[in-house]
Amino acid sequence: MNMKMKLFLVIVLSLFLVPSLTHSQTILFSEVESSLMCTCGCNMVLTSCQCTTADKMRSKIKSMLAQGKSKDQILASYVNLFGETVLSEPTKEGFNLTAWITPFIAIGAVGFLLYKAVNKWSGQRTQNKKIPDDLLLEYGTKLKNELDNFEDGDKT
Amino acid sequence: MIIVGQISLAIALAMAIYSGVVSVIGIRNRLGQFLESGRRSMFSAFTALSIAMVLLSLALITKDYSLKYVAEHVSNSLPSFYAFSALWSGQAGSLLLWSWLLTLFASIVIIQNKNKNLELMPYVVATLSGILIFFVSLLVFVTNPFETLGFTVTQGSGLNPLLQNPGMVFHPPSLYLGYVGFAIPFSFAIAALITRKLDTQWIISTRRWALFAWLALGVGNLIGAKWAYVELGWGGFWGWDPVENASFMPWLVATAFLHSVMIQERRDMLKIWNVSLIVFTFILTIFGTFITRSGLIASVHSFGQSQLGILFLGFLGLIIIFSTYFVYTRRKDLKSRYHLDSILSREASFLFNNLILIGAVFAILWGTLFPMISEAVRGTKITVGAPFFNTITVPIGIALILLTGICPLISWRKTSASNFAKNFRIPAIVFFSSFIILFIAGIRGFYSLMAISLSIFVISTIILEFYRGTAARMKYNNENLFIGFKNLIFKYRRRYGGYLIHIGMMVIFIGITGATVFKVEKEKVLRKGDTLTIKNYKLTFLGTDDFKTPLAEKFIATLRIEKDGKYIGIATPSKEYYYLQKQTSTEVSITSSFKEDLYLILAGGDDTGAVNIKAKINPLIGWIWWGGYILFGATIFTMWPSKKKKKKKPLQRPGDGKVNTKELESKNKVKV
Repeated sequence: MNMKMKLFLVIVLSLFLVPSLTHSQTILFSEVESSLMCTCGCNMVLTSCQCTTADKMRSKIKSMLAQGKSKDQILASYVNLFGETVLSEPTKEGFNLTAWITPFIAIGAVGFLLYKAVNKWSGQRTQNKKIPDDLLLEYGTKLKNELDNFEDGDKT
Repeated sequence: MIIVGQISLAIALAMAIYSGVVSVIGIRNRLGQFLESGRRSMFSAFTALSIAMVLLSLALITKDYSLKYVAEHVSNSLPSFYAFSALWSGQAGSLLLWSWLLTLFASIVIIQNKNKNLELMPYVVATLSGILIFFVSLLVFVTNPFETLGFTVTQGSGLNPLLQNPGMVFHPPSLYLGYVGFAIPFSFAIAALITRKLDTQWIISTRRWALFAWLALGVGNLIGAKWAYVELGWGGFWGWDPVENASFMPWLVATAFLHSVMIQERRDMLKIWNVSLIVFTFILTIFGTFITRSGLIASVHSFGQSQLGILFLGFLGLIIIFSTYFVYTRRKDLKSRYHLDSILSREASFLFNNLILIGAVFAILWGTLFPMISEAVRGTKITVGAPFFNTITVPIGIALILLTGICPLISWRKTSASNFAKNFRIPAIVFFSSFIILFIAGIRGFYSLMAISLSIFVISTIILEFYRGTAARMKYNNENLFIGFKNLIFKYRRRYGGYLIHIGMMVIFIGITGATVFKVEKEKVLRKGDTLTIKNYKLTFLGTDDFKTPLAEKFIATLRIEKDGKYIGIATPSKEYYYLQKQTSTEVSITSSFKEDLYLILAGGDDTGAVNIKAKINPLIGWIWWGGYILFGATIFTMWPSKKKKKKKPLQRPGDGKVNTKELESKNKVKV
């Protein structure tokens, strides 16, 4: 039973520190939960972590929401405590903005170059296929003569 | 046992070095006996590592705590099933598995190519030996699985509770099969570069190996996703952890490779691109191993900080320099003879598919490394977690689905706009109809609407391909529907197997979208007799129970489940407290159906009998696993050897063909 009591102590925290939230606060809670990392060192987003630290964090966030604090205020309070590393994604400002835009710039730029290259290659192919007029006339005449001869021969 | 294990590792290292050295001497001096000796010593290395594998497995199962590795990874009460899986749960054991698989694959390749690829094989053996030397050296000098503890213990530390899941038995070995499997096409690519035999032969010889490694890595990732879903207790399946990313990236590059080699086989184009892709794939597999073992990037999966990181970094650098040198110096030989004919061609669509896949890899790599980049530039370490990757990869994934659908509608070389429009008509109608129906059904998110509609669009193009092919066979070969369909897919296994793989992928995409976007969640404190209603499910709390097992104490909540007023079963989510590790673990209860999963988590409880239950409805999540089964079956079908083997020559334009003067001379007995 000793172990069981330990187990209860672990679980009980999450049970009694849960203030009830309104519908809009519940949505905000989900947003905050996915914006923060669990601080136990597991490197998991708070939504994903099931440890006691995560339970405590959730209870604290719920309390803060119940007190009327906004998402930004809650996130700021965690950043003050643990630094920027507590946020689950880079902020969309300053140097961090490069994290968000670089992949799309790279794909766009390479895609544009690829499009240009494919067009150039296919254009070259079309140009290469163009037969000069004099050659066309020469081969045209040759073909006509051969066809005439073939038809004549066929008749005979 | 310990001495034999250590000697086996030493012999394996000696054989790997010998194999590498005599292969190089044999190549330089054209000594056939040396080359044969190099090949045989690879078999000896395999035998030595097999002995080491058996001995370590026995030590784990029999709980021989004189070994440090055993004492650190198993305990007296751990079932043999999990004790065996501890073989790959630690640093040294997993490296032993890596090395053993490498010698196994190398031995198979040597047997397969006994009378084939005679020019390439010595270089293949030398390259594989080089890789093996690195891995076995780590085992002998840095992290020896047969290292003794030095003192006596009666109980081991045991296996982390989260690892005590059937996923542990299949997930890591499957990933290793993939990682090590890519060493084979990589070695052939290096051999082709060195010998300048850069035609399609190395690709044909390694096609099945590449597909096998791709499948193993894909299945390994899916097993990992299922494991996370049932074990971690958060209802998700992919956390975008750096190590997860590290196993996903080589799979993406290999997907690009498997598509673009078709262009080389058919049109003799993209040689430099294909060789670079397989080199990049192998580099990423080593990068993945480096991330897991260096402790440089914080990860749930990490083995912790160790000196192995710097060694892996050095090895990674060596591979990059070695491969880049050969690709660069062979660039003229790798130059394609032909160019694309049109932007509206299957080749071009494959190229853009490659762009998207490599773009996805870049985005994931960028996100994985950004914390380090940020620290280097700003001096501030930040976290790049799942929300970032979800935002970045969703639009890329949608572009990929679109291309997957468009590709079969375009012919090789060139498609006229009118022909494309004709082929596009029915799938386009299916796409717009799906989009409208889903919108009317209440789905509003642009990405989710696009992802599901486009997946249906892709499936419709594939069904159309099957229909057209079968109809053609029925018309021209006088076959009935069943025979026509059977002959179509069995005679063109690679093409239609590929389409089936695409269907599997689309089913997975639909599952991911459903489970991510439409999930519903509710949390409530329940006392005996209380109910929790979520969508059309009613859960009645019946009470709690607790009992002890040799490993843990379990605290269980029992709930009666009703769906639409009908009883469908009992759920028993639980919390477990593992004595040895002093760690709690969550065991969720999952009630699955074709449409959705009811996912119940016991979040808390007290000694008055009240419990805190988190209920989640995860729509379509089962489709991810079903898509995986389709993908697995279809890939096996595609890989399966055909009875008739026809050697395909690259298509040539009339009047622009290659003239093999030697062949012509020998046939016509004339000097050309």
